[in-house]
Amino acid sequence: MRIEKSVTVLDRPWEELIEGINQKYPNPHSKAAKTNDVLKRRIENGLLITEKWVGNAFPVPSIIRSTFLKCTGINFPEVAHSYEKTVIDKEEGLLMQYSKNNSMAAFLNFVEVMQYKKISETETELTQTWKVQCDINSWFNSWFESQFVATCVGNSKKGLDGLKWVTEKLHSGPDGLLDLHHFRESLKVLVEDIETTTVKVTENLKEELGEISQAVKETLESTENIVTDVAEESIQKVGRRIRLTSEHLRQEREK
Amino acid sequence: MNSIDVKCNKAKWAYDECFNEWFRKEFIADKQKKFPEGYVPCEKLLETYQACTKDELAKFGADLSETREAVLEARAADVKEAEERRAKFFQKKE
Repeated sequence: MRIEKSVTVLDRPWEELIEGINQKYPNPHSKAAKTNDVLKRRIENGLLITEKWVGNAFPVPSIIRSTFLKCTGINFPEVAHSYEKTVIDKEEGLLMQYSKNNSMAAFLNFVEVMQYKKISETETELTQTWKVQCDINSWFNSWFESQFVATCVGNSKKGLDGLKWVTEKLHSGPDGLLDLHHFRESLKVLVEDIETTTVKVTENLKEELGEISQAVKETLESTENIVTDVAEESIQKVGRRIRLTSEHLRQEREK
Repeated sequence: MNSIDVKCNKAKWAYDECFNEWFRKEFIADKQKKFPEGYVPCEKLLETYQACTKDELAKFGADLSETREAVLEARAADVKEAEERRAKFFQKKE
C-alpha cells in the first residue's frame, strides 16, 4: 500500500469554501467529472452527512492503461464510478470527505480523504491523504501504486483549481454568479435535446440512405445497360466471325 | 452537473437548487442553528429525484455496499484518532 499526504493552507474562509465544495462540479478545471448523484443527505448527531455516487472519466495516463491491459487483459472503463461521503461539522469548522473507487475494485483500492479545517476567520487548512493498494501482479503492484498516487496528486491540483474557481464565482457578487450560471447552463444535457438530436440524426440518415439507394439503383441500371450493350456487340461480333469462318470453309471445300 | 441517468437531470437540478439555497441561508449562515436528528433538507424534491435514479443506481447494488463499508472503515479510523486527540487534550488540561 502506498500512502501520500499533502497539506495546503487556502486563503478563503471555511464557510465560503464548503459552499464551493457542495457546488464544485461542473467547473472548467475538472473536465473528467461526468455525473454526480446524491444517495443520501441528512442531519446525524448535528452533522450534515452526504453520500454521493460519482462518475468520472478514468483519469489514468496511457502508460498505466496499456500496462494494465497487458497484465490483466482488462481495459479501464471509460467512466469510473466512486462512492463519496462528506461529513460537515459546522460547530467545529470541519469538513471531511472520503472517496473510494468502485470501478476496477478487484485490482485497485483507492481511498482519498480530504479534510478542510477552519484555522482562522480567513484561512482554511486542507489536508489530503491518498491510500492506494493494487492487487494486479506482484512484480508490478508497487509500480502501479506509485503511478496511481502520482496521478492522484496531479489530478488533485486540477480539483483544487476548480474549487477555487467555483468559490470565487459564488462570492464575487452578481457578475460571478451570472458567470457561474451561464457556465452551468451551457453544459446541461436535457432528455428533450437528446430526443431532438436523435430525430434529426435519424432523418438525416433516412435522407442519406435514400440518396445512397438512388445512387446504387442508377449505378445498377447503367451497369446493366453497359453489360447488355457489350453482350449484344459481342454476340454480333461472334455471329459475324462464325459466318465468315463458315463462308471460308465452304469456299475451301468447293476448291 | 448531470445525473447518472440523463432523464433525471431536471429532478436533480431542482433538488440541487433547493439544497444550495438551504445550505447558504439556513445551514451555514447561522452557526448556532440546530436541526432535528434525521432532518433531510428539501426532502420532497430529494424523494422525486431519488425515485428517478433508483433503477440506474440499483445496477451497482452489491458493489456499492462493499465500497460503503470501506469508506466507513476509513471514517471510523478518523473518528477514533480525533477522539484520542480530544482525550489527550483534556487529560493535559486536568
